[in-house]
Amino acid sequence: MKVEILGSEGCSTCTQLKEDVQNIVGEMGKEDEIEVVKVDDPAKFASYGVMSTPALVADGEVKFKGTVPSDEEIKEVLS
Amino acid sequence: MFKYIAVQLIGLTGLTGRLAAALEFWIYDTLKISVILLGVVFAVSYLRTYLPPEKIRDFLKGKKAIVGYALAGVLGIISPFCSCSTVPLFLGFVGVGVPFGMTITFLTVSPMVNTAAVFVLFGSFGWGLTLAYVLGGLIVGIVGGAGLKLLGFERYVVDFDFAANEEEDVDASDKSARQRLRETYEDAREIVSRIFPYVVIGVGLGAAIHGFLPEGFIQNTLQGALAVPAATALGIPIYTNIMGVIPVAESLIGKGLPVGTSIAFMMSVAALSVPQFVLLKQVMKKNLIIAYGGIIGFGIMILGFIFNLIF
Repeated sequence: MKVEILGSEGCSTCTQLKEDVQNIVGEMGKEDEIEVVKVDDPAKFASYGVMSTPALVADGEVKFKGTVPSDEEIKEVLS
Repeated sequence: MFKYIAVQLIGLTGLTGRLAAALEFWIYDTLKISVILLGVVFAVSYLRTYLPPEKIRDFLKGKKAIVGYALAGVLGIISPFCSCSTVPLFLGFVGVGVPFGMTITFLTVSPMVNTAAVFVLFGSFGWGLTLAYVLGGLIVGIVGGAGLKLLGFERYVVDFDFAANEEEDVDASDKSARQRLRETYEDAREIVSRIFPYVVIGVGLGAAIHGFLPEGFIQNTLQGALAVPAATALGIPIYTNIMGVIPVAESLIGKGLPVGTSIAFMMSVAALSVPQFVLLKQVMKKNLIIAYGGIIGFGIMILGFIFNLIF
């Protein structure tokens, strides 16, 4: 699975979301299956139809936008 | 009340004179702004869980000019967003057909006038100046947006594709109270921690001016026809939050800087800044950015002159 965290530079909640997701992936022991990348190109946000960050995209599908999801919500998406 | 605390604290230190005046200003303003900032940001963040940007966008999409511009301005006031989300919002708005001019209005008003600033302005200057500032900000945003649209600058928006897949539900009413509170907390924490350093610096500068700038200095140097354009120009390289510039303006007005000049300075600091232009460069071509800066700057100056005549 490829997880993209969309967040502009200078957006602290976006950095935090990336860390949260990486921690959870680590907890679940899925480092080999799930690739987490940060995307900071606004044109890319637009191509996903996202206008508020942070957003979480899993395999090209927007799961959350404009909010930091809770750990449970992140786990649900990753499993 | 804050004044009382400040005076008592200064009394304890036994200081007098300029240093005491500066310290008193510093304690008083830090307390006042922090309390207002916390209260308003939490309240507004909670309300905003009912109003995601998708909803704002849908409000604006089919509106006729007059209503649309006014609404874009008002929405800009109640939606305090981070400058880091300016570009995605811009793309999102323009991408799904919010008129270009209204998008510009929203983007201009948003950093210049926000709810927390309105309360702090009211606490520092009273209702007359607050009203002038808010209405002035709206007018500059609306004239700027409509002006750029009329002059045909829309064609200088960088080409991009926006996924218009969004017939998804943007219904924000199905969130649980718990989820709203969590979002409110995250949002408010992020906003306060981002703004607070600017407040501390701003209040510090304000305190220094309040305590140490000689009376009469401003009357002797910062008067005359060039004061407003100079204040506007000075605001461009300065990058801070509107909350950080209010205490500076507060003590400058206390030292006799005319109201219009002060408002022009505050607006320019908030709305026009080099980092903001760099961000916008991702989505706007050079001509548009120059025109944007020009028209907003011009609007701010006109407003400054008018307010200097009125107040």
